[in-house]
Amino acid sequence: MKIIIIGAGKVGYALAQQLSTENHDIIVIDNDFAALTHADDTLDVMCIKGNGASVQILKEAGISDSDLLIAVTNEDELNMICCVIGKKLGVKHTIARIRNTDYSNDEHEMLKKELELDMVINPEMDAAAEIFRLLQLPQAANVETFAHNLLEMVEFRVLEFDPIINMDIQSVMKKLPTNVLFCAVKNNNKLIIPKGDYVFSQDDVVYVIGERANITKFFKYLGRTSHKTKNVTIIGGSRITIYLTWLLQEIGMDVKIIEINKDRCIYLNEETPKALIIEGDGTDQEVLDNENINYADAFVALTDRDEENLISSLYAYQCEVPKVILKINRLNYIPIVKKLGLDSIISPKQTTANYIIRYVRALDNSVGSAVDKLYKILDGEAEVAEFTANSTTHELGMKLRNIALKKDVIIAAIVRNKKIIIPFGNDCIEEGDKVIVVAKSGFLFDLNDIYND
Amino acid sequence: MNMRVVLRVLGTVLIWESILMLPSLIISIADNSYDIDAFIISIALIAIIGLVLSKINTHNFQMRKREGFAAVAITWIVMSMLGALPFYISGGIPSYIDAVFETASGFTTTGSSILTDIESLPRGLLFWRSFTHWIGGMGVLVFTLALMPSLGARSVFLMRAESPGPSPGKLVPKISESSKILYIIYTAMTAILIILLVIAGMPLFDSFIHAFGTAGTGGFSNKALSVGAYNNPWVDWIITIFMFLFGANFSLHYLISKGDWKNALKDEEFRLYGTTVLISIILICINILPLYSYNVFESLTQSAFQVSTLVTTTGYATTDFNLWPMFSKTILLMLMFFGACAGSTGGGVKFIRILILIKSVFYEISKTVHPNSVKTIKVNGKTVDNSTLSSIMIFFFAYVAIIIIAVIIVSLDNFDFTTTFTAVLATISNIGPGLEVVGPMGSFADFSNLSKIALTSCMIIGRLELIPILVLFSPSVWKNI
Repeated sequence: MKIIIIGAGKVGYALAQQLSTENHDIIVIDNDFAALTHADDTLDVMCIKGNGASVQILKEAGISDSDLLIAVTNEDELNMICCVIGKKLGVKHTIARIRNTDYSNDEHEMLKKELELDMVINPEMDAAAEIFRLLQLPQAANVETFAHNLLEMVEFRVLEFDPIINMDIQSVMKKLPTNVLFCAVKNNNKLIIPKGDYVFSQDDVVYVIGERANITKFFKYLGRTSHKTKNVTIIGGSRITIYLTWLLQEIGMDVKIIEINKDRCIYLNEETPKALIIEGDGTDQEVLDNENINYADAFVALTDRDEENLISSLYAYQCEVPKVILKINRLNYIPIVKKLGLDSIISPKQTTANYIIRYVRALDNSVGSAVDKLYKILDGEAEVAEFTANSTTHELGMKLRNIALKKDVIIAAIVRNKKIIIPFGNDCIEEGDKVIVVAKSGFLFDLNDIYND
Repeated sequence: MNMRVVLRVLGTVLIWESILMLPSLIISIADNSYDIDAFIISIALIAIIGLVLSKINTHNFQMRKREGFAAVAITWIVMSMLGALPFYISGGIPSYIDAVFETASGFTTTGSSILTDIESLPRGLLFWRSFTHWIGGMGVLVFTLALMPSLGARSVFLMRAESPGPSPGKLVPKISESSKILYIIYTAMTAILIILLVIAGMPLFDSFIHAFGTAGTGGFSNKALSVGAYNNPWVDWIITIFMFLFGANFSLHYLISKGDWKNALKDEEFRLYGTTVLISIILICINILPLYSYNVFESLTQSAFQVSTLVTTTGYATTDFNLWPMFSKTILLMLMFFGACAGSTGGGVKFIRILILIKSVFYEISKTVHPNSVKTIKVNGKTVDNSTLSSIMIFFFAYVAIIIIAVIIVSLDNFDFTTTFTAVLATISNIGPGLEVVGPMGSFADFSNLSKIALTSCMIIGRLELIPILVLFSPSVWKNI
C-alpha cells in the first residue's frame, strides 16, 4: 500500500518505521528539515519537505493514487485540514490525530462523519485508558484486553520467592487452581514463546492470558494480593492527566494532581473540579513528602520530560507506593527503566502507532481473516493478534494437536459465543471464532499465517 | 566501525561480480581463446571470497553512515583489484598494477587505458573490459540493492555514497524499487543504443562494446582509433546523442517515462547542461571550420561528438583534438572539469554543483551591495539548505586539493605540464583521455608505477565523489572512537 504520513515527529516516525518494515511505500511530509533528515537517514521511506496541507505538496507526494493518509502533526486543526484536502484529492482513507481536550468524544464522532475521516486517534485518551486498566489490576505490570474485554493478558515479573520458580510450565499448569495460559516469556532480554518444557527463573518477564477472575486467582496463587486502589497521585498536568482523572473519578477514586505551572493548575481545576490540585514541583521530594506520598495507593508520573518522570517514580518506588506507573517517550529508555524495577511504563506514541498499524493491517487484508486487534508486547518483539476465523481459514475443526503450527506461534485463546476457551490439544478452531495468537513480531497478517506449510 | 557489516556488503557485491564475469567467459569459450582459464580461475576465486564474506553474521547490527560509506569505498577498491585478475592471469596485461589501472578505469567509467595495442586482445577480455563500464556506470551497489533488498533500510547510505551528486534522492519510497527503476531505464536505453548502432552498420560485438562505453560514460573501445575507426557519421551522431542522454540526471528519464515532460525540461541543472553543451558545440564548430576546409556538417559532427564525449566524461574520440586550435582545447578542458549531471553515469564536479556555486557567487555580490538583504539560494524553486551549500563548497575545495596533490605526484615522471595536469583531471573526472601524451590517440602506458597507482586512486576517489574514500583515512573509523 502507498501511505502518506504528515508529520515526522515521535508518532509519525514510529509509524513510518513500523509500516516501512511491513513492505508499504511510505512518503513522509514535514516542514522540519532536521526531523526529515533523521527519517531519511534511518528509514526506507521518501521524504518531502513542505506543508502537508498544501495541494502542491500533496500532489508531489502522489496523493491521488495513495491508499492512506495519516496526519499526525502537532496541530489538530492542521491534521483535519490535511485529511479533508487529501480526501478531495483522491486518497482512499484518512486518519487524523485529534487530541485537544476541547474536542470531546462526541465531537470526535461528529468530526469523523463531517470530515469523512476514517479514523480519529487520540493518543492521550488511549494512554489514559491504558493507565486506567493498570490501576484496576495493580499486580500486573501491563494489562491488555481482548474480545470485548472478556479476556485479559497481563505482564508480571517472576520474583525470588514465587512458587513457580524453577518449575517447568507443564507442572505449573497441573498445580494451578485456575485456567490460564503462559504465552510469552522474556528471559535475559531474549523473547521466548514457551512450550511445556520451559522452566521459569527469577526476573523472567511473563505474559499470561485468561479471564479476569482467573487472572486474579492466579495472582493469589503467586501470593500477590493487593488491596483495591483508592487514591492516586499524578504528577504533571498533561492531557493524559485530565483524561485519566475523568476515568478514575467515574469509579470513585480520589485523585491528587501535582503540577508546577500555576496557570495550568487553574486550567486543571476548571477541567477536573473534583480533583485536588497541588501547585508544586513533582520531582521535589519535599513536595512529595508533604503530600504523604507513602500513603498513596498509586503514583503516576506524566510530565513531559522522561527524566523527571523517572526520578520521581524512583522516589515513589522507594517510598513503597504499591503501584508506580510512568510515561516514557523515548523508546530506547524503556529497557533501562525496566532494569531499575519499574515495570509499568506507558508510551503514548507506541500505543498510537499500534492502533494505526492494526488499522492498516486490516485494510491490507480485506479478503482473508484480517487482524481485528493487534498488540505489541515485550518492547515490540512479540505481537498479540486477534483474528476472526472465517471460511477462508485453513484447518477448521481440526484438533490442535494434529496441526503443525509455525515455530514461535502460540494460540493463546479462542472465544466462541462469548465463551473463553483456553485451548489445549483437543480443542479446535471453528468458523466465527475469535482467535488470539501470540507470535514473534512481523509475520502475522492473516490467521492462516500461523500454520506451518 | 563495524567491520562485519562492511565485509558482508563486500561479499554480496563480489558474488555479483563473479556472476557478471560469466558473459565474458562464454565469449572466450566461443572463441576458444587463451583467456578461458583466466576467467574460470577468477570467477571461482571471486565467488569463493564473496560466499565466505557474505556468510558473516552481523548480529543484526544497524548500518550507520560510516559503515555505509566505508563499505562502498572498500568494495570499489577490492572490486577493482579482483576484477583485474582475468587480465593479469591470462597475460593480456602482464603487469598487475597495469591490470588494476585498466579495471579501475573500467569500473569508474574513466576509460583511460595503458594498452597500446588494443586490437590484439581476445574478445572475452575486451568484453569484460567494456562490461565493467556498464556495471560501474550505474553503480554495482545500486545493482545489489535492486536485487537484494535485504541489506535493510539503512542501506540508503550505500546508495548515497555511490550515486553521484550532492543529494542523491530516491525516485520512489523504497530503495530497492528505486534501484530497480534506475536499472530498468539504464538497460532499456542501452538496448536501444545497441539496436541503433547495429542498424547504422556497426558489427554486433562492437555495438555491445560501444554501447557499454556510452551507457556508463566510460569510453573503452575495441579499436585503436576509438569511434573514429568506423568513419561513419551515423554512428558518430547516435553515440553523441546517447552520450548526452546518459550524462543527464536519470530522475529526468524517469519523469519522462511517466510522461512528465514539462517538469523534466524545466529542471535548472538540465537547462544549464544543455545550454553549455550547445554553446560549446557552436563555438568549437566555428573555431575548427578551417581545419575541415569549411565543411560545416563535418565540423559540426566533430565538434558535437567531442563536446559530448568530454562533458559527459565518456572519452571516446573520432579525431585527435590535440591538433585543434587552443581556443577549442580550452573549452574542452573547461567541459572536462564541469562533468555531467548529478544522478547520471558521468563523472566530474557535476553541473548541479557548478550551478549552485555560480548562484552563491551572485548571492555574495548582492550581499555586498545590500548588506542587510535576506535571500536564499534556490534550485528548481526549492531552497538549498546551508548544510548542502557548505558541503558543495567543501567538495569543490577538496576536489581541487586532490588534483594538486596528484599533479605533484605525477610530475615526478617529468612529462610536460599539460600532460601531467590533464592526466590527473582526466582520471579524477573519470573522462579518459587528456591532452598531449595522454590525448585521445595516446595512452597512459608510459607513466611510472607510482603515477599509475596515484591515477588509479584518483579514478576511484573521483567516481565516489571523494568523501567515501576520504572517510577511510579518518582514524576514528578504524578505532571505533
